[in-house]
Amino acid sequence: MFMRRRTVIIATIVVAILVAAGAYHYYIVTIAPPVWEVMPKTPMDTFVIAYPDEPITMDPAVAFDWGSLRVIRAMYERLTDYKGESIEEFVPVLAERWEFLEEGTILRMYLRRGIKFHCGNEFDAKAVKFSMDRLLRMAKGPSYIFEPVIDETKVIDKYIVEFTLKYPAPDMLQRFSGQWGFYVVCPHCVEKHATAEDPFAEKWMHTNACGTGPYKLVEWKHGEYQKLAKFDDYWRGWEKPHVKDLFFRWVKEPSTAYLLLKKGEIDATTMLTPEMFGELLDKPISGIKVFQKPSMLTLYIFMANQKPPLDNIYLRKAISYAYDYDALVAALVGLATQLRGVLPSIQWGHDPELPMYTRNLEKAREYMKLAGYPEGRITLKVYYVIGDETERKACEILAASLAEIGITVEVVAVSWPTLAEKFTAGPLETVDMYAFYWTPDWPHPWDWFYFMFHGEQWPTRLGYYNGMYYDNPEVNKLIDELKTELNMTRSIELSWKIQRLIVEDAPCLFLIEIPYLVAMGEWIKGYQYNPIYVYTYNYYDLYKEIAP
Amino acid sequence: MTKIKYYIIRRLLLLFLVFILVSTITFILSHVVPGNPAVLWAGPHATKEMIERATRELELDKPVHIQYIIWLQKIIRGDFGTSILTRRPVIMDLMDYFPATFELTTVSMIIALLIGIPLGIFSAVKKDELIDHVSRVSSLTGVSFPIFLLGMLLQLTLGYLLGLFPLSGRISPGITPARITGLYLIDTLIAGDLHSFINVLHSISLPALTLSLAILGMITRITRASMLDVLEEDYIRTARSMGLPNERVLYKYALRNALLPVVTMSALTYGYLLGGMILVEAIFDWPGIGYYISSAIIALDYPAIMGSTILLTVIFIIVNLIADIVYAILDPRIRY
Repeated sequence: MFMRRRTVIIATIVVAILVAAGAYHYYIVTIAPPVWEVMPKTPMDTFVIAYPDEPITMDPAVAFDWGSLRVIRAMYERLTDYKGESIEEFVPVLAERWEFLEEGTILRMYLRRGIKFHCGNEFDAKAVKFSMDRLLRMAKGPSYIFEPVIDETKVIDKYIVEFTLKYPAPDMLQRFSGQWGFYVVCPHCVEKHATAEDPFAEKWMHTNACGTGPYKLVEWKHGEYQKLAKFDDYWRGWEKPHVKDLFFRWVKEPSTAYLLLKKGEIDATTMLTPEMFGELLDKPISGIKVFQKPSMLTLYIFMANQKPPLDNIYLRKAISYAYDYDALVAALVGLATQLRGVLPSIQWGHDPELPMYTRNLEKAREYMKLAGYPEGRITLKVYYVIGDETERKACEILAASLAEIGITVEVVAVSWPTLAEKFTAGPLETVDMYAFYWTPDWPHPWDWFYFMFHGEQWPTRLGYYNGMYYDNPEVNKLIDELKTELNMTRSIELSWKIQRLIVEDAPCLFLIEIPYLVAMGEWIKGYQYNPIYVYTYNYYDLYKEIAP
Repeated sequence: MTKIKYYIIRRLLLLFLVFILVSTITFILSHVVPGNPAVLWAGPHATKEMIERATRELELDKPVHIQYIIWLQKIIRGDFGTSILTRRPVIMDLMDYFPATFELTTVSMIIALLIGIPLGIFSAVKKDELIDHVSRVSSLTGVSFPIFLLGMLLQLTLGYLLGLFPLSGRISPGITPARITGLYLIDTLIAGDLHSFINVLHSISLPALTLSLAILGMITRITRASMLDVLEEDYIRTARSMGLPNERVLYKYALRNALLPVVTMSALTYGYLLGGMILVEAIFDWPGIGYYISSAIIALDYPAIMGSTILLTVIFIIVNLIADIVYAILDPRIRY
């Protein structure tokens, strides 16, 4: 056999490349094995998350959406925080300690010294008063949390501030520690950018930030990402391991976020679908961890309590017994649990003994007879917010469930402003039914009861969220009592009583409590969950480490 | 060519008329949809008073025709208003999102034309031969394949499994080209930053490939059909019988005439795509205008809807104007 020289040379080169590649592969796989299947592709001092909603504003006195809050939490700080996973214990942040005076009508806060704002100015009692006055005078977004309780803010000393309360509120620290609400802003920067038409410098605060928090806003590329970098003079210091840069990447599709996560290109995300989380929990991928935690997010289907035919309590009960709750839990790949009453199981005041509706078609048919509809033959419309998959599933299961007792349900998807216009139209003009989420702004049962079930909160009266136009004088009275009750045992009793009355009236369907799910790289250490601080992270405590 | 000048002026005057018509229709349509965007503006937990105040602030309490007149007055002053959803001036939103769409669409269009036209010509010339069959099958697949599926498949294979391209985004986070035109490819070149330019090129590959595959089929088919028609014409047979070389007949006489419908079609498609491709934008996190417009529509964000409508109307008319000019160059018989 005779081989041409060129062929020999080419063959040799090919063999050499193959051998080299093989050796390299051997080295990668056996000599230097990666710790996990998925390894971080992001720098070790950078924390990258994918989020589905673009932030609207950087102004903590305006922000009332998760997107904005996610960034604000890294730049601004509160006086107090919740401790660890607790919703009843607090830790000092900007305040060093606090005390209630004058039978709980004055809250005095002693402030920490030597804290600087991003611009270099010093934090003191004046800044606290300035921030509270600004929040209340602007009367936007989160101001409603403080407006009903805070009468006046007084500077007592450079580092002592006093809040005079309108009544001895049992949930003051809850309100102060909540994720929405009171962040201290830099008075100097606000004053510097204020104008005659814009006395609160809303324009400047919309896209800029000056707080005391550990990170500063570096870049905001609309529609793409936001970059934050560490604030060198942060009062807690940077000696321990921390992430130094934060990247918030706007990702629109959960499927893209899932691929980015599996490639190690993002460090954490909450925006996967229940199916994806279910897959990660069933077949764990090494290098990705999933936190599944009880949360405060609850889902209901509201019914029009004043408008025929649903003003008929027997019909509402028939529907409550006909709904297939297990089907909904199954549709969410078992990640949710059925609600027992108004409150989720981690909220104190939750009643584990509360009698609850479960699917029972016989009972449902009996109630249909009592209601005067033995044959059914009713048509109802249920609305949900377009694009919300969980709500869509809940409504479709409603349609399927009620078909069995002769009620035809038409499922309609609309935008939130359209739905809001419909259900605020009036007790007789509202829609038959609509799916509705609740998550409290501070964890007190009153937050749930008052906003959704108090007669005062009809959209046509003082409120907005009681779109089922439920009004039970006895319930109203108990809710008002709960508002000022300082004794915990008594508060819990009241909550139980209120829920029994509400559930008996069946004003809405009590569907599910939805767990909080977050997927994270195994290399992220220091994450602390709290049911109030959802959709944000404790950025400053996070650090990365490649170690199992 | 002076006549063309008059023509352009006429068309620009027409633009004004079209603009009035389109804006009136859009304004009425978006306002008859039930829903009060003031609810969004006031934010959750807003009291009745806060919503009423927001309604007044946004001038939604006035009758629709008055609102329209107010809006027109502002537009004449160059004020597009403030978006209810993003709370930024609409003009700033458009300046952020439109260049991204423009860049992606233009790159996709160039790819589609560069491949589609030659492919169409070859298919016509080699009618019913192998290349024709291959191009037919691939064109039909490209046209009939749902674009989101195509995008996700490319993302999964080329991006995720093979790791050849970034999964999503317009540029790697952290690289910030200086803003000159808003088109990253051009901005990075002007700045002479080759590293960033390659990064942008790398990032645009997958979405551009997806979009161009979807358009490519159509361009190929139209080029082929129109080329076949022209090749049947008498003047081509005459040219051939005169003994002109085949290439000359094909490229000088046939192609020029065959391109007219291709130009029309491409211009329409281009104008249409500049309105944003929401599915491609969603899959690849392309910060384009399609996603912006669709969120604006869902939220009944009137200022954003109206602002985008104006922009798209103007763009569409300009693109078609350019197509008309190209017509005149291709076919000197066309006189305006």
